[in-house]
Amino acid sequence: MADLPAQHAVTGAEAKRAEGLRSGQLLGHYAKPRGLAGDAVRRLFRNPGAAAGAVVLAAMVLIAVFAPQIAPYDPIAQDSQSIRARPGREHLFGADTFGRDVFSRVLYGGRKSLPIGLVAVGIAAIFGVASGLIAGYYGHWVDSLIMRGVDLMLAFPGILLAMAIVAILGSSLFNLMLAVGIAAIPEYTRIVRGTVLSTRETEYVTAARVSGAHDRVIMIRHILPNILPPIIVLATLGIAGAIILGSTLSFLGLGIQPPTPEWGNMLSDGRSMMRHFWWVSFFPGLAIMLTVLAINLLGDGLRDALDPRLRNR
Amino acid sequence: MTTYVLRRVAQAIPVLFGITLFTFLMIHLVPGDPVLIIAGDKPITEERAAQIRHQYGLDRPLWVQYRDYVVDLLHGDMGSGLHSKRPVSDTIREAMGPTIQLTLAGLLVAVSLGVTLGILAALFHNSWLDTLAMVVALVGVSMPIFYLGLLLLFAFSFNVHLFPATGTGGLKHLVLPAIAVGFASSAYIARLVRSSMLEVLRQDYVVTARAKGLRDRIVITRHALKNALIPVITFLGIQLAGLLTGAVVTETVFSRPGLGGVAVRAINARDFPLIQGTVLVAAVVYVLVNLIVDLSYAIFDPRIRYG
Repeated sequence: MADLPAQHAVTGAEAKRAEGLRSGQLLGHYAKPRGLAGDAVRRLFRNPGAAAGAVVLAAMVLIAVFAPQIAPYDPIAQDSQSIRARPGREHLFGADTFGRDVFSRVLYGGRKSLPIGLVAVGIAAIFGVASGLIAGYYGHWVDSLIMRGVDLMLAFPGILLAMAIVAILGSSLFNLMLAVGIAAIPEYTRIVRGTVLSTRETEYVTAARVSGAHDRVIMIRHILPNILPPIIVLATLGIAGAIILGSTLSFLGLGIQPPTPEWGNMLSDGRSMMRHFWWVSFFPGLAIMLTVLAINLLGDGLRDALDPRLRNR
Repeated sequence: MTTYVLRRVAQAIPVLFGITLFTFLMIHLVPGDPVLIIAGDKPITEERAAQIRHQYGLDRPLWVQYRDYVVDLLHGDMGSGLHSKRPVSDTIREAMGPTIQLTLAGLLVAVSLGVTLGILAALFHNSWLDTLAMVVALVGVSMPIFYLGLLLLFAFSFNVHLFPATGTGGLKHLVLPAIAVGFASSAYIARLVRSSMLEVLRQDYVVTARAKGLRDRIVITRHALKNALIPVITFLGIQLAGLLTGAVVTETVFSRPGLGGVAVRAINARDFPLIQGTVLVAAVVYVLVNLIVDLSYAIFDPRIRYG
């Protein structure tokens, strides 16, 4: 129980210390006490898997952001001299049927795949959290109505729902994000609703209600912050799922269209030549796998770090 | 038990109606006039438009159209493909077989591989075998199915000529696609079996069984495994969606016939009767499978029966 002070409400000084921990300045100087967030961050980075995941993911994001500066070639420029060139000094990851540099295309591909994951999860989380809060807080017929809608959406396996939405709206970057995002909404609604149901009866919510707070204020200021941890974990792991679903749709020809480089459609490009020119598909696939693996490691680490039962370990 | 079954079946009915409502509305949700889609997105004369509108019943009120749609569905009529003019039900019936075959083969791979890995990891808890099993599981969860499929093709079909690359036929054609479909699920199952097995091995009845001198093999198979597998059965219902999805994608990788190919071609050709049919059939199959899985819990877990 040496960490007892950390259990108290966060004071100004503690919050500042937590801020310091978060930015890494004070790491190692202050052993304890810590704020909740600082404690979670500390435990997250003590987990080697999660730390590795965070580093790889950060590298992937940086690579995607600075792709124009790093890429040795124009990702869509065709070069008749290097058609299907093997990986080597000229072309690190080889070249495809049109002589385009696979390395440059993989770098640029992240500029589509990563935002698809992020935006789709953003859409899913916003609508899922809002509907879950409303369903769980108001209960009764509102709850029934929303949950029947969720049941209906869950009747379609994710990729099928996404395919149906692409069929309706047509394939474009935004529609792809929308399709992947909508397909993930029910997960958030269900988790948030379940958590709200148990939070609704707590004393601090009753206190807020008695003191005359508006329903919206209670939901956003009092309930939401207390149910954030599971949402953060779900959203993190959800980015991995969204990246896979987005690249799957592109692989099937229903997402980002060539020649725009995207990891899924690059894999599809190389599919028929896998026998002799494996590098065209191998590297974009590797990029998806590494990114998803990194996010999964980070998500699993977050789950443990945010679990209060595992505190003080 | 009967009440539980009836309640669960009653829950499925509105969902089934909801699915038909969604597939019915699909063509109306597309921006623009449905007539243009049916005409193949070409400019057409006003007369031709009126003719199509009448032929497809688009000139009647929406609810009448929906009623007719459901009545037709109950007669097994899902309309005809816009391009092939073949009845949609025929196209789908043909494609269902290979997809179901692949999904079940994937399920077999997922369960056998997942349960084996999970048990090994639990029995040799904290050993290198445990670590290896969990690393395999992590990679399995993170690997897109189409990438795994391509790597399998490259390794076992192009380099070592063990299995044919494409097409259907004997069991040999099914091996690689089934692994591709089942691998990710096996990873989840392995994690689940591991933690559930670790939990069960600590229970009093396992300790009792050990204490009375039963051999390890008997304790594990008769006492521990039976109870450790209950959450796995629950999980299979959720995994079936993943397997079905996986089958749809894997079909494209291995150029196998099936629902996946039909759906992708239909979407690219904007053949809406065929899109609606595929989405409808896949969703209905999925709901029914989940219903069966739910009902089967009642058999495995008495708490649900009386709960």
